[in-house]
Amino acid sequence: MATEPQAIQPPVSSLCTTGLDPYLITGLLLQELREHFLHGARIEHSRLQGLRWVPSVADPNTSDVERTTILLEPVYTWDPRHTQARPAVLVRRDAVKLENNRWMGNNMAQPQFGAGDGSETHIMPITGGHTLLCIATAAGIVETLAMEVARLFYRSGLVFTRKFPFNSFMVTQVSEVQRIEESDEHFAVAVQLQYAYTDQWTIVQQNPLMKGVNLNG
Amino acid sequence: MAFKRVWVDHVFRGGSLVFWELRSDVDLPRPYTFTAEWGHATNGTWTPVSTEPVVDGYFAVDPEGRLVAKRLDTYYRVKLVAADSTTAYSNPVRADGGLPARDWLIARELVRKEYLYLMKGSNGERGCLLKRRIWGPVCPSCTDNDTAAVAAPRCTTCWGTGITGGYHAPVEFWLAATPRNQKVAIDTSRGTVGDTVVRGRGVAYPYPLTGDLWVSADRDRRWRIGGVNEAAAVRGVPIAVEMELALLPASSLLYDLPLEDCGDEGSSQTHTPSCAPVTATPYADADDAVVAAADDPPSTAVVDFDW
Repeated sequence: MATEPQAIQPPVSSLCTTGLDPYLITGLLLQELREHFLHGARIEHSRLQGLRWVPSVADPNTSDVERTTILLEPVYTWDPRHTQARPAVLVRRDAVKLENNRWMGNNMAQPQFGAGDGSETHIMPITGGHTLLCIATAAGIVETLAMEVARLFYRSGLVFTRKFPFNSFMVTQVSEVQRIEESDEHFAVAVQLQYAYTDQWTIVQQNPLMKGVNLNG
Repeated sequence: MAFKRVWVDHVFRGGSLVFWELRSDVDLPRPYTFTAEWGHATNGTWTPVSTEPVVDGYFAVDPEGRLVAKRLDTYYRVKLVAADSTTAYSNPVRADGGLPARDWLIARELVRKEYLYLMKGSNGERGCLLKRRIWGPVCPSCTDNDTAAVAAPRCTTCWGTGITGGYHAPVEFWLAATPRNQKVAIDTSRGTVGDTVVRGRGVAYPYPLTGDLWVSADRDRRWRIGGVNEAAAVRGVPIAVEMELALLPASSLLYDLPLEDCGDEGSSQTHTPSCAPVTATPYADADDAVVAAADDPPSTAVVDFDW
């Protein structure tokens, strides 16, 4: 007996009203990381099983400093209680590029005419990326951690594009291990994500054409 | 109080000579049987350099080359067994080479003044030096099967070193450190950081090396030792060292490293860092070699300078 084809519809998201923006994506990635390290069941590598992100009782959006054993924060979060807590995965936004269509001018890309009321729909393709900075006390640990993070996102890339209005979402690079000078000797690996999405808007004609032209002159 | 002095003529490829000299007032039943022992730390595991003890002699030969890198971390001590089984150990000495008697006396006086500055002055701070293990059984808990590198965080078997045990037992180490800055800032690649680094000066015994830990005895602040420079030396034998110390963040697993096993001045507190009494110096043997029962060898000897 054949199975009915499953209709996969993009889920309704709270992002629908605001659309994606880079800072919102920072939060999105952070939530995904925290969810991953919230429960041991989602941690794939056995050596990382001891790492837990524990939410604060007072505010589930912040970490319980006492019980959390992996720092998951935006790189610019100012909280001295987290000073150099390691291991860590820090979320940093990289440059975002607005793919202007230079031939159409006025920074408006690909105008689409079609409603018949004089309105124009425009889209702005946007490409950008985030870097997930994995830092740990030993090179072997940071290698393991970085691949755990990379797996999390490249395996869920397709889900991301369906669940959120991305056109593409992919892990593009896991950097080499870099030694960093800190209080202790630490090592870092950068997991780089790249994505593309579009911003779309409509310009509606409110006044008759040439209303401002004085014909009496 | 058996040994007056022990010194080592070190040879990299093997054949190091370990000399000793007894105090003139030692009057134990003869013959004396001497065994030279070596180790990687003053309070680590000691291994005889030879299966053949020296009877009534004054030196022993270590046929093995103990060093495979630049770090001079080989220590020697001498065990004396008298005819009545009385056993005495010399203080451990680093394989820095010997000094003529006059220079040795100068070196000893310099060490005494260093300790005077540290312990009687207002700059010195009492703490514990934990030598990082660099050899031994590989940690079975966190190391990778293929590379033997540390691959799991927060390991309490090796404390992140990859070697079971992590660190040798702490020994007391006085330090005069520069005032520290407390700047905490955001780094674009590291998040919130507070790179508190100070410079400290102490006696070069035990010789601190990069990667060792120093723990402030009164504050439990734990510091990672970075670069080490020799600040004073007599004919190439280091007397005092200056070192960079970087404060470990409070989240560091090394704050869980227990220090209660090191016999602190009778203290029974387990949360307070403690360590063995003042470490001996290779130039203070004249006053302080320890005589002990054969089954109770001292891990460190006590310096008791007459200030």
